[in-house]
Amino acid sequence: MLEMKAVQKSFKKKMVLKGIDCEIGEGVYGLLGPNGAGKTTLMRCIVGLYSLQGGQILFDGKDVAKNGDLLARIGYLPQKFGLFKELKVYNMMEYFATLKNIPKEEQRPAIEKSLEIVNLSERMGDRVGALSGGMIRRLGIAQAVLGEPEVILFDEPTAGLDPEERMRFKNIIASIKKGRTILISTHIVEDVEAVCDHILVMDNGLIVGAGTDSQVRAAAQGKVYLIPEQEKLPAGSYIEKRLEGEEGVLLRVLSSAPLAGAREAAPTVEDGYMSMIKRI
Amino acid sequence: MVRLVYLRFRAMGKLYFVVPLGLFVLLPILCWLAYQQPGNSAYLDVADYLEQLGVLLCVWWPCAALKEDMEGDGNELLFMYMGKKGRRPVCDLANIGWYLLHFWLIGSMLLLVDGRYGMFLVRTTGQIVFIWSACYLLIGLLQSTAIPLMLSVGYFLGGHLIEADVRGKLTIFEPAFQVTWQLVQQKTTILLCIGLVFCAVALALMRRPVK
Repeated sequence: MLEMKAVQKSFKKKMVLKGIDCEIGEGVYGLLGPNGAGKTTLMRCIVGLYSLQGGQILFDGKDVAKNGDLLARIGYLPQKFGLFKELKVYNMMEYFATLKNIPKEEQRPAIEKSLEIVNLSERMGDRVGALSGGMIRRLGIAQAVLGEPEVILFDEPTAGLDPEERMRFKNIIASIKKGRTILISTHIVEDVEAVCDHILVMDNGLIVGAGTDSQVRAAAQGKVYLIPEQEKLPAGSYIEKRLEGEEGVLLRVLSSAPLAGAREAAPTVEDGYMSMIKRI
Repeated sequence: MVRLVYLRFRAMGKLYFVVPLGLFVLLPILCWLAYQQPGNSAYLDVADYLEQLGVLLCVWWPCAALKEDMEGDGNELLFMYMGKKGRRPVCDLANIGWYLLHFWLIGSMLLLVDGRYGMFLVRTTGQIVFIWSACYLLIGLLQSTAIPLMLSVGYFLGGHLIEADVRGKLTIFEPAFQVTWQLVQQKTTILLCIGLVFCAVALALMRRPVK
């Protein structure tokens, strides 16, 4: 289990993580937040790329910063992945298998298994540089699951992928999630909704909300309204979408106060997320 | 670890072959041409070529090998599993070791031709260690490979543009006709010592997190 206690990180005078407190157990967790919320920084802190200014990150009760060996039990796919383009896919995986201290005799079966999970077994002999963007991302996932780590962190894994590759990613997560802790950082709400059991909403360096998708949805209960475009909106309300339909142009609005001339709508996870980060 | 070193060299792709081509193709051609020239200066010309190509090419492999670690898309992972854990130094030191092996292979062939080349081989080995370490230090300091490569090559070219008479006083280079065993011993010892210090500082810098 991963436990974060008052995690703080700053770059010069800018405080990026302002005291993160949360516990992550078995299952798939989505770290949802706008760009600049601190998701990548938090991920990098967990894998020890950044040292903390305050607080602790514990893995099974042990401080990750003081126990470097724990990193062998954590798989990580960074936002940008695409290295050693001159190497063949198998050799690149072999490189990581060596770095992850997988014994030589166990490397081939472990690599084959990882590539099979991401459906790249047939590309084992190809150069990394010859793979498409989606395939390289899948190779990154294969690298992350190599050695069967207990915790896997994915940083913006679906950014820039086409719908087919995004669907494939969701299927991969479904196939590897059993018995593992998976943390996926993203700003795409529908990805989180589709694959995650728990959602952590992050904004401005803090966890501003957490729970299952129905709990996140509940955060916007009674705050989502559909209102004709011409109606005047009170201060503090937030326009989420502009919808065109048979009734004319409607605005999907978040508001803590009831809106005159509007009808209430059932909240979605996106509504719950917006209500958390807009503090409505 | 041997596999890791091998894969790092292999990951360079075509860039790897610049050094073998320079040392095993270009240098022998230049040496052969020098011996075809009239006069008795072939021995000194070859010694100059040995210094020039030996030193110029030595910065190629560290820059090619560390490009991914410093500027590549996978630098976070490489730092996480290599830099932070202190595995990178072994690969980097293997880099210069492998280069010196190449250099001494061609050098030993020259020794078979003329035993006097030993003095120049020792001198250039010191120069290689110095330039390689300076480049490695710059890579660690700037967390980039392009600028250190340019600076190292710039120093080499600048050094060779200086008048032959004062070149030895201002830079680590000197024309072959000025080289004596006494000079080689003094200068090589100093260069090796400075190189080792640069290396030690660079190895510490390499454990810094990536940008």
